[in-house]
Amino acid sequence: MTLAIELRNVVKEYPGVVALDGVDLKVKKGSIHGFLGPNGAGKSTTMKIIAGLIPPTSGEVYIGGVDALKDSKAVKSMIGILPETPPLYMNMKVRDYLEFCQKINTLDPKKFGPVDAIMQKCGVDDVAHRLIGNLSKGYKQRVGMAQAMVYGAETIVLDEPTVGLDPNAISEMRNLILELKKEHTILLSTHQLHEVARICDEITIINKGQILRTGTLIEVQSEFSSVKTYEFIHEDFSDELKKYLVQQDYVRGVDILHINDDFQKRVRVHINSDKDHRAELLNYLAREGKLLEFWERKLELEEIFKQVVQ
Amino acid sequence: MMTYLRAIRILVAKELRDSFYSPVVYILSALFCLSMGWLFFNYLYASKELTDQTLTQSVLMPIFGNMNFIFLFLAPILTMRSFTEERKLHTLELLLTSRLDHFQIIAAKLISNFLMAAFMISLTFIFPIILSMSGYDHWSIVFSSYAGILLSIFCYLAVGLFASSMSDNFVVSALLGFSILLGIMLLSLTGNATQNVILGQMVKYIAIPYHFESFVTGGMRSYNFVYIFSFIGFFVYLTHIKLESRRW
Repeated sequence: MTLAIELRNVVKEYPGVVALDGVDLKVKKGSIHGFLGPNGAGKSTTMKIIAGLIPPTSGEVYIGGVDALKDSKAVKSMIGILPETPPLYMNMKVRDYLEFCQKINTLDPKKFGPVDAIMQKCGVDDVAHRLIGNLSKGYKQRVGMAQAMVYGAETIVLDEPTVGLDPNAISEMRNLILELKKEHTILLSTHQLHEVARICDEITIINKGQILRTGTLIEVQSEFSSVKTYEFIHEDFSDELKKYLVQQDYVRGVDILHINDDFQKRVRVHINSDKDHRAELLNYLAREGKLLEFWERKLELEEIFKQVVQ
Repeated sequence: MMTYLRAIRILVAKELRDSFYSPVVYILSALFCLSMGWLFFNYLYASKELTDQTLTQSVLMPIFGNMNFIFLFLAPILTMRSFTEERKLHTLELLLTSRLDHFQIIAAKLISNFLMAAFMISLTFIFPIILSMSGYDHWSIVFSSYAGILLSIFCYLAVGLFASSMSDNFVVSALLGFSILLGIMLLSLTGNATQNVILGQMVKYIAIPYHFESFVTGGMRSYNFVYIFSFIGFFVYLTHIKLESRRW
């Protein structure tokens, strides 16, 4: 497994505050890694350490296998960052700005190349000759994204790239991130949990400076699946039926969620045991009336997030 | 080494473009020309009465003295945007995550501000040309005075840049820079006031005008250069510490 970013036991202390407390983070090359946590959890501090803006108090940071603390200059051109507020010069034109970013990050005239390909990739080629200050927030975000990649950084760190964007711009940003995945590794911090569930290969949840969960979405979901939840729509679900279910030792609870009409009821059953009780449950429900639908309910990322950070 | 200097040049070019696209430099230049032109006319007019003084004493020296004093106010205004705006726009992070180091960033900002100030000073080249029309030919004094004013301004800009790194507010940056410079200027007066000759000389040595006067009178010594470059180096180092403190 090749890692684009690796943090080993990273600690960051400010006077009187431990911002990061032994953070271990692994981001696989070519993946989109969601970095989640409530405000003040340590996300931005972690991202600043990865980008080389601040040093950790202790621990190790590797970018593309290179020790970022020992060879910070080499690492600088390997990583691009789009902070929460894009670092844009409002009085510069988009093309001039990107060329400037390319120059200060490569410093080698041989590597100064046309920025057209990046502008096209990020969808800002049609505003190349406009002043950044006159662009919409969505375009500014895209220009910020382009500056993170314009010097050929392999790993891109995006700190809440969708904050303040309208739904259309969020959707465009999502498509852009998915497009970038073909050539880049992306570490994405956001509060848009449904976006994370849609585009991220792996997620890490951080709170109070500590990593709480990390892995693929399915892995994290399965960690919370000791209590299975099934839902079904039943046409003859009576109080007797409910009483019977509740009496079973493997059933933790039964909730009637929604009544379609006088007969159809949508019911949620929480199962305690590790054993698979679906056949037993299905048989009984089918015998006692018309069972129209039955499915296992996976925990939404939002619910997992709430449970983890509590 | 070439790569190191090239990086500074890239940032200087960007800074100069920003400055010359902004109306501030033109407004300041116009005000500077107006005040200097008016003063020059007055000194020139008054020089007719002062028959016992040369044009150097009656026109050139007071003109450069005033120029130096005006830049006490202008230098902090020129530099107030340097780091304050970068912080406001969050572009300081862009520079700090780039391959530029602190000294390259500070040097580029100092040089670009110096070039702007030099542009303003160049507008006064007309004064010696006018003097030459009446037979003035002490060109060595003219050159040393220009060298003195440029070095003096370099010192002011180093202080202004440090002040700009200290605050998120333009006005506070400019006021802080001006206050530091005024404090250094007042040392010169303190030196004159004391009865202790050695202490007086020591205090005066710390003030910029003492060294500037050496240039205007054509009597500059190596210690003047040592002072000026040490002064600039000291404030560049303070600015570096301020930038470094973001990582603490």
